[in-house]
Amino acid sequence: MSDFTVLEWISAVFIVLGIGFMLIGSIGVIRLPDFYSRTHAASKTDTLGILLVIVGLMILEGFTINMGKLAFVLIFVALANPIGSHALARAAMDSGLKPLLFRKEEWDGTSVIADSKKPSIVKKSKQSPSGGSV
Amino acid sequence: MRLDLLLPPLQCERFNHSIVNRDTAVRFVFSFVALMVFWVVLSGFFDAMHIGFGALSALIVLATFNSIRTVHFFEDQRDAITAVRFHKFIAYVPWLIVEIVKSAIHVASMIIHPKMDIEPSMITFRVDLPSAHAKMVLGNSITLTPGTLTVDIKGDRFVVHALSPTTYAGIVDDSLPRKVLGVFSPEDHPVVHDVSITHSNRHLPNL
Repeated sequence: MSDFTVLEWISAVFIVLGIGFMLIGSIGVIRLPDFYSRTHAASKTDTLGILLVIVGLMILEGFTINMGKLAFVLIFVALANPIGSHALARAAMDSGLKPLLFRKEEWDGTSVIADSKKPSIVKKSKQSPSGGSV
Repeated sequence: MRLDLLLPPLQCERFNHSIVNRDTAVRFVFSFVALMVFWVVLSGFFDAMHIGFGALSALIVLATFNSIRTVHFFEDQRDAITAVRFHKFIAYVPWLIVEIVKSAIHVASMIIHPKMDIEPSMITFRVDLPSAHAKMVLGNSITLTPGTLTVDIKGDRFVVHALSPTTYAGIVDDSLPRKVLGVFSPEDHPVVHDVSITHSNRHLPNL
């Protein structure tokens, strides 16, 4: 324990924080309700996670040529990540996938609460009896 | 985007662009220095032979891309490097990193909260920015900030998906777009207008 230098401690803190953000991003991919909100979790929380891990490695590496290479990785991740998630979201929108949007009151933590006043639900209840009678 | 712009430029066009002026010189020096820095950092050798190979490679890359440079994909496309105000850009990057960290913490806390207090919404707005590159930087900054995602840019109209009202506050109150305007232009005016925020699937605008 006491063998670690201060710099090693600092870089360890950065790397662990980064891994924590990546873990939360993975949890978000499972918990969030639809494609667009999952894209947020998959790409954005991971962006900060990867950036923190690379900064931690840069601190560990010290001022050498490898720090420059890590800096390039940092820049390319920061440039490529938003382009990738934008391309995903745009392709989904162009192929007609509608985002799931709701207000806070309509959300119970896992799904959108069914409200009888809503037209989408009314349509469903109208369709099912007619389908049964025919 | 016009499809005919994707075709190789005409011979006369290429000839016009090869005339040396101040802009082409600045662009050439900047690209060459950037490519050389990239080469030196990746190779890690500083002797004459390796540097020489690097200079040769950089010149070959610049010669190859010289003809591609003349192709314009957008009406308002112009060369970004000479339009960027570097002192503003250097101030913009740390500001953006602080914003990214703040909203990443916010999004992470929303995800791990048992009730998961999200409120997904679509925001459409128009921007008043000088060039296609400025819109590109704004779109990338919006996407890079956790909680907001640029879905589409058509002309000056942005379509953004946001995870909660806190995440899109920085766009709607014009703070992020104004910073982007400051990077590209010395004049300061409101950038975002015609904002509409949709919380319901049934009122989705034509996207």
